[in-house]
Order: sequence, then C-alpha cells, then structure tokens
Amino acid sequence: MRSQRGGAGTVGAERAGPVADALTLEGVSREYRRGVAALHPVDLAVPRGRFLAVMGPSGSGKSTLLQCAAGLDRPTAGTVRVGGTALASLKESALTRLRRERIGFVFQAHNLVPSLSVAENVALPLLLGGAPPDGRAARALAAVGLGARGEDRPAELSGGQRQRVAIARALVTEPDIVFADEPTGALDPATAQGVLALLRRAVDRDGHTVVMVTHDPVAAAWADEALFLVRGRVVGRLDRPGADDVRRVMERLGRDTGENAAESTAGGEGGEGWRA
Amino acid sequence: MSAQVPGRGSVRVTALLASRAARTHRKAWAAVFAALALTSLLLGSFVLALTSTALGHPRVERYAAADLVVAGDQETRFTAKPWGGDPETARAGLTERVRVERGALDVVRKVPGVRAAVPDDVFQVGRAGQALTGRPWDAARLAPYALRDGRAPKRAGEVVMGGGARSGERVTLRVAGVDAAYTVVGVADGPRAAVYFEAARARRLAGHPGSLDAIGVIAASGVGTDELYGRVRHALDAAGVHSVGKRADGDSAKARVLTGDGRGGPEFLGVAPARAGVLELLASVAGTVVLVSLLVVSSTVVQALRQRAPEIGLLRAVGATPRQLRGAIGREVGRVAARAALVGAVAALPAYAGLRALLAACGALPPGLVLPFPPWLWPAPLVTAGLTVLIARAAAWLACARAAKLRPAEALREAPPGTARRVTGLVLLALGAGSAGAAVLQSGQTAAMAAGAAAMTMVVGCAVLGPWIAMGAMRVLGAPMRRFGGPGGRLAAANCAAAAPRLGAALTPIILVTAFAAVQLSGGATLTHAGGAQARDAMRADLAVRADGGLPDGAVERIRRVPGVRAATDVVRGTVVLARREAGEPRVDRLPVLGLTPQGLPRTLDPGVRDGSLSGLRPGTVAVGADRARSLGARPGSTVTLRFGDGAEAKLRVVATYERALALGDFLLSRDELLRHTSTPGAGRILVAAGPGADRAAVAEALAAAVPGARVTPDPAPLHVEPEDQALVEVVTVAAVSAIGAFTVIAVLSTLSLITIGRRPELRLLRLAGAGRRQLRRMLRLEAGATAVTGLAVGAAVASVPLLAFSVAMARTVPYLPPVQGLVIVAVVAVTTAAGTLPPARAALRGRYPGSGPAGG
Repeated sequence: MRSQRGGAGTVGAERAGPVADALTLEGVSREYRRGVAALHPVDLAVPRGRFLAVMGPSGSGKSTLLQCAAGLDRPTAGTVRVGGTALASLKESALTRLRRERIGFVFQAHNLVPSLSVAENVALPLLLGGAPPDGRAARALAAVGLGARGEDRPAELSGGQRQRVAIARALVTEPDIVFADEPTGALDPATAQGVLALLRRAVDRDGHTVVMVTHDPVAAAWADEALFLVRGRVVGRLDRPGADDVRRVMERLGRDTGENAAESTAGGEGGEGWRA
Repeated sequence: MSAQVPGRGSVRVTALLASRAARTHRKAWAAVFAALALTSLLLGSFVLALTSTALGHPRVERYAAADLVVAGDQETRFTAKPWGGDPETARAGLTERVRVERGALDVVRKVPGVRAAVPDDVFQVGRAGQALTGRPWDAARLAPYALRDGRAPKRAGEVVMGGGARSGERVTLRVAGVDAAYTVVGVADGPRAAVYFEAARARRLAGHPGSLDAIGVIAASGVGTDELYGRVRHALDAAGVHSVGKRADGDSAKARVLTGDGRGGPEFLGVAPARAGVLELLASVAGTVVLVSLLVVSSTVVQALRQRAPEIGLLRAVGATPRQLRGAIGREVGRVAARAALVGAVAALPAYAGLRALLAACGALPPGLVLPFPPWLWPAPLVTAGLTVLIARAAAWLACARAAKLRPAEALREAPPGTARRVTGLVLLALGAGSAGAAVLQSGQTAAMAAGAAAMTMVVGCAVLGPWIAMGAMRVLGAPMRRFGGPGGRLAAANCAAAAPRLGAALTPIILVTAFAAVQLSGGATLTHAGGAQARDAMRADLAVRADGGLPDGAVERIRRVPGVRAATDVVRGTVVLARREAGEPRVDRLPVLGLTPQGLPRTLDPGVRDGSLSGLRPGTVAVGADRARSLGARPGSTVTLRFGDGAEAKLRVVATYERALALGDFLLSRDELLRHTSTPGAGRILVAAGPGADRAAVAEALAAAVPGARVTPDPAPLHVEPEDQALVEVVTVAAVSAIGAFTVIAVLSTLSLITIGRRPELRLLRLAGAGRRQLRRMLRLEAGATAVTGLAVGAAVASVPLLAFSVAMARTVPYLPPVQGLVIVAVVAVTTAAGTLPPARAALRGRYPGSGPAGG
C-alpha cells in the first residue's frame, strides 16, 4: 500500500531511497505469543513532511505498529527503515543512538523525567548524546511558547504544557520523524487543539514528519492522512480526513468485524479519500 | 551530533540524572537507605569483632614479671588429605595442662643470661568446701605478688594466703582428697583464692614430681628477650626436652618458649580454644547475615526502581543507552549508599561495644580473654562501608539490568509470571527437600549444614513461587473472609485474589524471616530441649554429695557403707578431643564428657544402655553414645581412638553403647582415667540412690556425717553435659536472628507500604463507589491479616522440613521452639504487616470527603 499524496508515492519501495521517505515498513508483523499476531504484515511508506494519523479501536495493534516503527520493539518479521536505515541491521547501541538522534517521541503520559527541570527535559536527547549545552533547547522551548518556564519542574506545569514540552523535546534534535502515541489522550479538547496545532505547524512550517497514534477523530482531522487498523490489519485509509468522515468510518469499524469491515465500508461512504 | 557517545558528556548526563533523581526520590530510597545502613553497621561490627578476636590473647598475670615462660604445647592437630586435595590440618586448643619434664628446669638454668628459672605447679586446694589454687611460693615472684604481711613459707607446714586469712591462723587444706593442717605465715597481693606452699611441699602436693606445669624465666640485666629466647630455645632443643605423656601423631611434644602476650597461655588454658570457637562462630554467622542483607538490599533497590519503570522506559525511548541508564542509576544508588554506609559505620562502634557488653553480661567469654581494641582498628568500619557501597551498586546493576537491557517497549510491560519461574521454584523446593532428606541420613555438623542449606534453598524457592503461594493461600483464606468478614471481608477476599502477584512480593520477606528465625532459634533449642528431657530421664539418684574444694579420698566407698544407701556413683566432668574426617576434611572436635565409677550405675544414673554393659567401665575402656557409635562404626568389643584433654592419645575398648548421649555426652569414661588427664578437676559429685523404704532425710544426715565438708542435696539437678561455648553460641545466635529480623522488617515495611501507596487511588475509588471508611479499614486489616497468616504458615512449613530432618538426625525428636521466641516471631510479623498496611493508607481514608486527595496522582 502506498500513500496517495506523497510526492514520492509512485516510486517503488525498494528504490524509494533514504532521501524520499522518512519511514518505510515492509511486511512488518509482530507476534507476542507464537501464532497470535498483534500485527499482521503491514506495508507502509511515510514521505517526508507528512502528518499521518494511525487510527483504530483499542487492541487494534496501532501502538504495536508505532513501537515497531520507532525501534522501541522488534518486529517478528519485516523491515523497518527510518530515513533509509534498516533498524533490524542495527545493534542495540546503534539503535539507541538512532532513536536519540533521528526519532522524536511524544507519549500520552510519563513524558518528562520528574527530577529534571523543563529545560533539561527538552535538552535530554542532546545531553544523552554528550553534546555541550547550546541554544537549541531554549529555542525549541520558545517555539512551543514555554520559553519562560525552563527552570520549572514538570510537576509545576499543566497537562497541556507538559505535552508541549514533550513536543519541544521531540523536535530538538531535528529528527527524521516524530512518533506521537495518543499525545492528546489525557487532555481536554481545547488544550488538545493547541498541542495538535503545534504538531501541524512542525510539519507545515519546518517540514517535519509526524506519525500519530490516536483514537480521537478530532485529533485525526489534523493529519494529512489517516490509516485505519482493525485486529492488526490495515483496513483502509483516508486522505485529508475530516473529523466527521473519520467518526463515520470508526463507527462502521466498530460495528463490523475483521476483514469484511474494509469491504463493507468501501464505496466512498467514508469520504472523498477513502480507499480500502 | 557525533555518532560516538563521548565519554565526558556521558558522564555529565549520568551525574545530572543521578543527583537530581536521588533528591526527588528521597522517600523511595528510604528503605534502601535503612537496609544499607544496617548492612554497613553489621559488617562493621563483624569486622571489629573478628579483628579484635583475632588480636585476642590471654591476659598475662601470673607471669607478668617473667621474660620467658617455658611450657608444653597446648595445641593438638590432625592432618588429613581431603578427596582430591592437598593435606589439610585441623587444630584445637587443649584445655588441660600439658606438662614438661622436670629436667627442663636444669637445662634452662644453665643457659647464660638466665638470672632465675622458677618452676610453677598449679593444683586445686579445698578449704572448708571452697576451691583455692595452690602454687609454690617461689612462683609468686613471677607476677610479682609481693607479701603484704608476714613472711615467706619456709617449712612444709607453712603457707602464704592470697586473702581471707591472717598471719598466724591455722587452716585445714584439702589437696587430692587428703586434709592437712597448715599455719598461715603471710598474706600476699594478687588473687584472693590463692594459697602458696613451700617449694618441696608444693611439688609433692601437685602429684607429678617428674614434671612441672611451667617455668618462668627471668633474664639477667642487659640480656634482651629475643636473644634469651634464642638461647633457651636452642638449649631445650639440644637437650631434647619433651612434654609428658604420649601425644597424638602430628602433635608437637617439644616444650614451647613463650614471650609477650603468649605468656598468658599457660595461665588461662581455656582462652585459645575459646578464641578459635568465637572466630569460627562469627565467620559462620556473618555468612548468613551477609546473605540476608544481600537479599534485602537488592529487593529494596528493585522496588525503588520498579516505581520508576515509566521514567526508565522514557529515558530508553529518547535515547539513553543501557550503559548510561546503568551508570545513572548506579551513581544514584551510590549516593544513597555512601551516606547510609557512613551512618552504619559510625554506629558500628557503639554496636560492637554493646555486643561485647552483652557477651560479658552473659558470661559468654572465657575468663582471661583480652580482646584488644586499638585506635587503629576504629576506622575499620569505613572499609566495610566501602564494601556496602559496592554491594549496593551491584544490587543496582542487577536491578536495572533487565529494565535497561530490554527493548524499551518491553521495559514498560509488566511480565506475567512464567512457566520458567514456576519450574525454577519447584526445582528449588525439591532440592531443599532433598537436602533435608540427606540431613536425616547424616549426623553431627554435616546434618546441621545440610539442614541449613535446605532452609536457604527452600526460602529462595518460596520467593520465586511467591505469586502462586499467594494465589493458593487466598483461595484457602478467601472463603472464611467472604463468609464472616461482611462487605469489608468480601472486598478483601476479592482484592487478595486479584492481587496475588503483588502479595507474593510482600510474602517473600515474611516467609524469609519466619523460616530463618525458626531454623536458627529452633536448631539449638531442639538439642537443648531434647538433652534436658534425656537428662531428666537419666537422673535416678535421690541425693547428691559434693564439695567445691574436692571430696576426701575414698568418699564413694564410705558413702556406699552408709545404711540406707543402695548405690553411689562418682561423676566428674572433662573434655576429650575427637579427630575425624568429615567429607574428607580433617576435623578436631572438643567434646564434653563424663567420668564415672560404674558400680550400681543404672540406679543412680541411667544412660540407657543399648548394647554391652557399663559394669566393665575401667581405665582403657569407654562407652559410646549410640549415634556417635554409628558414625564411628563402633560397637562393643571394637576400639575407638580419643585424645584426652591434655592431648594424650588412647585407644579405648568400647564396652557399651547408650541412648542418652544428648544429656550425658558422646563418651562415658572411667572416672580414674579421666581424672588422670585433668589438671584442675571441677567439683566432683557423688550421686546416691537410697534403698527402698529408706528415710531420705536420715540418709542425708548420715551422708553429711560420713563425708566431712560435703554438701548433701536431695533430688539432684539432672546431669546435662553442654559444650563450654553454649552461652556464647546462644548470645551470638540471638544477635544474628535479631539482625536478620531487622532486615526483614525493613523489607516487609518497604514492600507493603509501596503496595499500599500504589493502592490509594483504588481506595479512593472504593470510597467514591460508596464504601464506608470503616468497611475499608476492615478490608485492609483482613488483607494484612491474610498476608501475615500466609507468610507465617508458609515460613513455618519451609522451616519445618529442614528442622525435622535436623532434629530427627541429631536428637530423634520433633523440633522444638521456645514458646516465647515463637511468640516474638509472630508478634514481629503481625506488627510489621499492620504497620506496612494501615498507616500508608490513612491518606486515602482521611476526612469525610474522598476527594482526589493530595496524593491523588
């Protein structure tokens, strides 16, 4: 399956070199116990400068997909490339370095080390890489509107502010790709909008690539494209998803089961870009 | 950004993480701090005790003014080749005097540079039922004990007393059962219970004219001690001076020349063996305590880090390498450990002083043992503090190995207990049971060791199986809780069943303390208890006759002729040394024994003869306890080789085997033979059985009249032979069990309070759902009770397996635990469990409104 909007979308995955796609998955699957697949083989390519939302009900395998793609978990089979580098070929230390330098993370919670100051949290990937302190962390923090809170502790911030700090940290290394796992899951709608706007801006203004896992149709509406997962399989995708389109697809997916869900939703019901 | 991790930057970030985290998580580290401080304190005290004992020596009193002392070699050795190893030698100190040929005196006197060589003989003297020490007056100058009053004894009938008499007084003194009258001509400084005779008289009274106890050598002025030592040593070797008596193979019969602190050896014969005993005991106890401290330290570190699993997962995700994480956590633990270890090291000094005071108060240290505590030893606990920090870092390394090494995604997932874990636990339990089974087939130390290993293995097995044990227990305890506990009980039952893995973690330390304390306390108590029962069964006598200063010659014969006396047996105590191999290793054990006159034995004292007969117990023969006979392969008619307390070796013919060896010791010897090898016999006791229908009071009066100076006691106390270091072992065991208990209290408190704190939101939720505060408190109390009961029951079950094996092998009884000690174990567990469960939950139960509370997040 290839994305329909990426400029490099028409190029084959093998030749879609390091330059073109921020992330490619080829036949990536994951079994936690023998024979029980959390993720069936998935093919996916995310071009640079793209904001992709991975949607699905609980247990659909969307977090597993994200963890395999981000080098947090080892797929049972298949190849993951981040910025052209195949993760499976990397040793533990090289993989860690790749996460530190070329991947940014935003989780739903436990995003910040409570004992470090806000500025130190943002600078954490730089510090772990042994870089001397410079202005990058301060700039990243200012970019999310929290330039004045650098000396505070995470506990002194609101939930939305903490997620902004996490975004600043995710972007501070200018990574190839940012993975966000339910970044707004614990926020009220208004605060969530602010956080999503930051991610959107990172893509639009600075050319970052973002893959976001969410079950919230409103959040998914901020993405360029939404990917739908059910029971570990990609059952469809939606270009320029609107919140209502997404909600309709989700409801249908919730009603129907398994593979035939995709077939039954095919036919433009989901919206303009819907395809299975 | 560079591809390589630069060393300096890496150190900087780990240091930053460590310093910040140690401050933020101060509360989480509290248990680790306590456990490490205690570890440091115990290690420090052990090092002080060990070093001090290693430096220990007998006090130099009698020979303080002598430059050299010549005496026999008070050490017996046994060399054997362990399976597939080099020969090893086991040693033991002899508690009876090894005397030197009298010819040595002339040899030493002829050495140039010797101003005086003074012979010394020490013998027991009785005065009106009181025991005194007799010596020649010349030897008093070796201390020197000066005359306070009067003059030196010049004639055979004159003595100088240490105290309790005035010059000119007439005293009757009993030596070797013979009374004689003396005139006190002087009073000397020094010990009060001393009496000094004229030299020739002393030599005759001592009863060994061909040998002497020791020679004190005083150097001529200008002759150095080292120089004189060399000359005397050479002269003795050249003359071939030997100690008296046939020594065992491998023992040295050469006379020893002692200088410095060594000069106290011939005075306090009990010190050297006691010192070796203390060292051995400390080493064995230290091993157990260190093991427990390792378990507790690592479990508290694991708990402190488990709370921070999300943080560790995050750090891994954003690019901390396993090494960086280990470095940061290692430094963080190191910071906590350094402070804790220092606190413990400082506290080790008073703790050691307290232990010394306790040992002294219990009379657990032999008289004359000097334990030096020089200033250079004071900082020794700092060394063990360093060791404590290393232990902590090792524990941290192990604790974060899993979290740091795994894929970040897995570090965040709670792994359900797997099959491998269950199999490991079951294998460990089976191994423990097997080891216990092996203990039944063994005897003595081997059995005790196998039982100890079994207990250890099974405790670890239970720790591994914790979740399943908790599940099983909750299934059992759940029914009554649901039935009788009301709504709180139903909640508790449901919670316990759901939280079995969590409870498993809390159960482990409770099982640990119960099993360890029970095994440690019950092991000795079972032997003492069974020995006491045997002693009561063995005692058949109606009356006992004794005199502290020694009974007169022929007392037994005289007593037998008293009307109404059916039987009389003279009993003396002594020591023998048994050299043997245990699993190939050489061992020399000093065993307390009794010497008996065999006539009329079962009527006065019944050892429970199994084979053979005691009537033939004469010098050259021995009766052997049944278990010891089995391990030695001895039976009536065969011979056993023993060393007496003075090192003389003898092949003795076995005449009988008997049952009550726990009370009466493993060997029964002829009184006369045992006395021959005993330099200062303790007070003898004659056990008397009255005839049927005899008036006991009348018999007692008749006995008192027949034996002047004797005390007659009705219904004599049972005869129970115990090792000399019994008191020491008991004090150290209690100290070790208390230390283990303290560790476990820390572990239980930390585990339970972490669990309870983690449950605050759940408690709050229950309140929101309408549960009353009283119901919740009841629920918590029931849960705590279930935890305590399960831990105690499983701990007791674990302990019972090796204990049963041990007591069957050693005493042929069931294990015994003194009720008070059992209650203390139960009380400590109960109070600790309650303290770990109820106070931490108070925050969630406080106030009328559940709210979200201060610790809501």
